[in-house]
Amino acid sequence: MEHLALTIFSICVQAAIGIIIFVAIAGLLNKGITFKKATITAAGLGIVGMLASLMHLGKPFSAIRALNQFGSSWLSREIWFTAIFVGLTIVMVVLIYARAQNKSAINGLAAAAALVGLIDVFFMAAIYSSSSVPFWQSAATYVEFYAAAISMGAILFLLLSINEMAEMAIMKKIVALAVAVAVILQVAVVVPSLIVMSASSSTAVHSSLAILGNMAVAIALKWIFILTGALLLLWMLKDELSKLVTNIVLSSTVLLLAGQIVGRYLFYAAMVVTGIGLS
Amino acid sequence: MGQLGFYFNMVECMGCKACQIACKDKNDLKVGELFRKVLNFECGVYPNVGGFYLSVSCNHCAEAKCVRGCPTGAMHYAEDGTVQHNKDLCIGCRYCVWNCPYSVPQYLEDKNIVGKCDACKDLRDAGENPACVDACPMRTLKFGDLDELKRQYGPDLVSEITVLPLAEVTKPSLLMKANIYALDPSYKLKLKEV
Repeated sequence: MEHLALTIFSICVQAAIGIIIFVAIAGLLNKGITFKKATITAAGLGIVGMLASLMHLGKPFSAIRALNQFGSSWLSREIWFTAIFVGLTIVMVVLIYARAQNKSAINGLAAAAALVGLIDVFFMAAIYSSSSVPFWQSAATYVEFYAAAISMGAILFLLLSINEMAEMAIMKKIVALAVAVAVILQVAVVVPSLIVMSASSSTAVHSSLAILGNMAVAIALKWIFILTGALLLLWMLKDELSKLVTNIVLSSTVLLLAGQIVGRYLFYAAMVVTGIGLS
Repeated sequence: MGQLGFYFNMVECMGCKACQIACKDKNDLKVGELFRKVLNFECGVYPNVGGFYLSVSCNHCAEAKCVRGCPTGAMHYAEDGTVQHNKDLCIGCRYCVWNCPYSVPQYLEDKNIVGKCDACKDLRDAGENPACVDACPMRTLKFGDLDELKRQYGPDLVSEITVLPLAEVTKPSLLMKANIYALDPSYKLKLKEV
């Protein structure tokens, strides 16, 4: 688990961004509701993610220096935007407790945090796609990251705001459809990209594919978890809220999170840098 | 002065690894850490066999991905155009390790930062050659102005061979006199483990 810290960081921050995107959408549709549990969870995930990212560094107490090169480094840009995103969600939590009646400010912050988060996911993917790891140098990296953020964020938002859904039935449909679209795009882009890679002349790509070839069970689990989670959610779309529906949402959440976490483990496990003799 | 870089005469190299050892000694590197390494590639089936030695370190690329990607500015261009690494700025994020297509920067576990060849800047500032250059008994390594090296060693020098990444990616400051096995992609080369 060489990349455990980065797996925790990217999964937590992307899930947090996804939650805030749906908090922002729900805030636009119904300005009277505050999504307290979802917002607190997003802030908590963001903080856990940022702390986990420090574990990856050789000198974690000097991490502040990573903000130096915004103009040239995707990594520096990502750290800036992650810090701003987490900062905005923390301010949202403070406002929910201290100024709960100021819903327009909370909704405005949610919209700003969602926008920063969407840009942050792009920066995260750009870090990997611009590296010298051919397996990461494709549109699949962007799709994987956005699909993870949307699917995990949507389902966590629904689970954490299930009581508020009684007043906002439309959000249940939006969440289920968002998860379905994200997962369909993930399958439609990632699977063909693996097929295209298998025709590559790069030895580094074939080394990555050979690593994945030895992890066929994990690959199968990733897609089974993600697809089953999305299908469960679509299946409950027609039903009114009930104990059964809550259990389905919980099952769907566990499956989608597990699928995306396994997928992220595979993403890092397949890393092979082009090197001498591997070009 | 123009762009500085290494010249390597593959045709004359006998794979003695004196350059690798001199570099390791100069930089006081631990077991498993090498800023310059000599690789042995071979191909064919007896009696039709071929191969070559390749001595490689940082290529001090004109468009170095390690410099562009470094979030702290630790990887930077010195005034002489070489790629240098500021140990005091490095936070050990390892992004340069992912970014360099030649896999040059190495994470130094005992120091919690990355390290790489600086073309012996201290020696050069004192008017001397990099340690690897002076260690080579066959005089296959040189360091200097690339235009001057081209004039001195002929027009058939290359910056790219079949086992190296495409030169257009980072524009390596590297000139090689290569043999046929390193230039013709029809030879199926294999890195010999040593």
